[in-house]
Amino acid sequence: MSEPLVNIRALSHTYLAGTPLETRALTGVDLTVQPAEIAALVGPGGAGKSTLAHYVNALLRPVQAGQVTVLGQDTASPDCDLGRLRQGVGLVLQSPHLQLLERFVGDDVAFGPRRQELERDALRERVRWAMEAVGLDFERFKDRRTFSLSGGEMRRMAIAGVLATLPQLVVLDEATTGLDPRGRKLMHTMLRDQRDTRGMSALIISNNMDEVAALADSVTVLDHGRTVLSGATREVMCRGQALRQIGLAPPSAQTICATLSESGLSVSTAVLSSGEAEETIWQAMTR
Amino acid sequence: MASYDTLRHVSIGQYVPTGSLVHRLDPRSKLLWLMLGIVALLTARGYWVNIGLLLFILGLVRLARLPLRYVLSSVRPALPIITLLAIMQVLFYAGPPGTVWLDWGLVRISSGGVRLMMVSLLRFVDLLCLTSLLTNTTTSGAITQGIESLLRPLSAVGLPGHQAALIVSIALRFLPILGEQMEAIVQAQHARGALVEHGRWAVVANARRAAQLIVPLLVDAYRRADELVLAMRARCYQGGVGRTYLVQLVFTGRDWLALSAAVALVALTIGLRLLPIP
Amino acid sequence: MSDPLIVVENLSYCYDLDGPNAIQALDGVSLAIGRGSYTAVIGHNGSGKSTLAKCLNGLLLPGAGTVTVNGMDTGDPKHRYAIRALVGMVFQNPDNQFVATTVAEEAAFGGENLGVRRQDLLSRLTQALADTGLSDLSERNPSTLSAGQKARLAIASILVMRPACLVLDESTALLAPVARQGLLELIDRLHAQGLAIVLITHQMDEVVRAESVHVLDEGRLAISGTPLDVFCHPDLAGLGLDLPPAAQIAAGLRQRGLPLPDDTLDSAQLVQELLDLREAKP
Repeated sequence: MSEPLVNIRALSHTYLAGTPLETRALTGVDLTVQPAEIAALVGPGGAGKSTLAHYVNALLRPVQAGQVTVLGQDTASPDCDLGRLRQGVGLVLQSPHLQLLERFVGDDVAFGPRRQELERDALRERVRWAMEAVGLDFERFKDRRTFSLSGGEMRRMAIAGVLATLPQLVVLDEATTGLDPRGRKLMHTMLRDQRDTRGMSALIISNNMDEVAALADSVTVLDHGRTVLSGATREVMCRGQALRQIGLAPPSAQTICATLSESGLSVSTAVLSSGEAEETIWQAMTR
Repeated sequence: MASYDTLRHVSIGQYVPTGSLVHRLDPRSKLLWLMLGIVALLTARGYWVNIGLLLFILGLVRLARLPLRYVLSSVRPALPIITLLAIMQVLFYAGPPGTVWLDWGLVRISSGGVRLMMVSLLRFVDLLCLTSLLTNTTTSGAITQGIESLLRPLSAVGLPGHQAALIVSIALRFLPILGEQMEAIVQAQHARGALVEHGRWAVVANARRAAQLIVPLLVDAYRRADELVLAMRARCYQGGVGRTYLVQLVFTGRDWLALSAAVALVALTIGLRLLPIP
Repeated sequence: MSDPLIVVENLSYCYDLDGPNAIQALDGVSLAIGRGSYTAVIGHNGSGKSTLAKCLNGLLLPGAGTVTVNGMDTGDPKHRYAIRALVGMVFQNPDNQFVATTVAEEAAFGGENLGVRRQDLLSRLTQALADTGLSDLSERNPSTLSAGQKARLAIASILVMRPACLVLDESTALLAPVARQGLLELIDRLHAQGLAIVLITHQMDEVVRAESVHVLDEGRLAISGTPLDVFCHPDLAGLGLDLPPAAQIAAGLRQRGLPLPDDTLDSAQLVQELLDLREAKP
């Protein structure tokens, strides 16, 4: 297996250490993201997911404990080339309006690729492609003022801006919150396409278990700063008891199958989507 | 919501519950203490009186069980400005000079100038501690009530006491939030490769891009204000007109004691002006 | 509907009317909210759901058309506070609406504003905190609460005003699954006590709990009916909607030939029907 894009081992982080408001955000957390993999990070609020995401982009460097290697570079080392790292890893935060740099949408999306010294036409094409990939019509949106966009549109624009640099990894913190089903489907298609055609990996942070089950290849579950579960999506999602204990739940399709199974129907309970549930129910009913 | 590390430099406005005596005082006595404390530090004259006053106030901070380093850490962001002002005071002091050490055109370094600078520094620390004594030991809800209660007699002449008090307490509450947002904006822009990292003095290196940092912060603050106002209107906020109060403020013996101590302090500092203490 | 609580007649609203970015958020919407009813309002991003919500209690005044609450016109300044006390609104992000530093003070804010006598205020507060399960947290700082608890606090602060209707603008969007379930159950309990509920949401499984659903599309009312009416619509994707998971499974099974009734929308129903079919097999 090739080098993982992200390799985090035994990471700990304490905010405001030494003050009366000191809080432990992460304790001994491990995380790995392989190339061409969609990894998910889930956990109840305050579990440390956003903190962990900041380490992936070297916004936070391990000073207290742990090792963080991203795109082959040790982020704790002073030789770490942050500029290059951030070209390769795109981060979209939970509040997208904090990342706006330009007045107009087109310029903002072009910000990243512009630093890659593309020719004018190539740049324009890149921006067009990135915007269309997230569902923002190029002609309609390129001259809109960035601050006039709605929350969902702004989030899409932030993702387009990150996509436009053709990164190896995107980290999306609550990327689909506030999007309607149509918007969500578009985002999923985009992530899958990028993974399959370019080998782009994604680390998605979300509490929408149905979405994670449908999209992710692997899942890491955090609670109160510790790793509770980690592994392939199917394995993790089948641990219904453990998930419910920390405030999460398996995908709804699985809950339905679990209820059916308890009532005597011989369906598989290791389902991740409505499609899989349908298949196993059909099998059980026509036996 | 994660809090970022710059919060360690914004200790003002943060309620730190340590359960001390000071925490249990009525907010009005603490507000009055702040005002009388300021009068005391303005009327204290001379090195020794100011040093004595500082030690007394630091003692109060310990009484409130607030960690001294935390309270004083608020000074850090202002350090460059303070240093600049101190230097200017020493160089350009134009009042009664005492002993003159250097006289060269506009620049005049004298013992009078040095005295002013030292006293100003002492006063600055006093002010910081007095403010902490109020804001770190009192919830902003209590502060609002305290201010509003003290301003109530003035509503007879039309002063909007409750709105004013609410503005103050909400501003205090949002200070650390905006501090967090500022940090988040800087982080976000680093993530996009928009800011260059030069260590501690990165702000100086990125001064050109100041607008890029301020605009998102202003927009963020405006949006929050908008949402807050909407929610307040949805709950029928009408200012101080016809409202009732859940929490009733009660002045106890402790509060009278604290107030007398404040008055005594002011009397002392004024009285000591009459004595020739350096 | 006889004697509805809220009547919306031909409502239109435009943001930034004379400006360069004029947006027609609502266009000729007419609907009614019945007393004690449970209504869901759904639609794609930008369809006007939030705007509609804010018009229901006079936070936004109609550009054209009228909104009447209990016979009072929202456009009439005399009735402003009476209307807002009757129709309470809970926003998506509770962090930005807290004004106080303890849970008790925060919840009591609405009652204080209305000048409720202290004795009465205390009993309303105790009731509201008990209903929302926050009684043990009354002295805590709201910013230290979990997301689910914050959402409950936002609801408690409205309950203190004794409203007849609760409007929830995507209140569950930021919650983890168990917290979301808890909030929905709380809303069910309040509904059982007689409160009218207006739920604005993107989550299709929440829509199934409602008695009536209004679907907005580009500022216009596209569908008004029961959840079944909505989910049987031929072009859900075009409206920016989707089927709830149980309905998706049912639809797939129906296509394969399983005789499931057309009105299977929620998981409990699906499970029951499958078990019934199983029983019926020879």
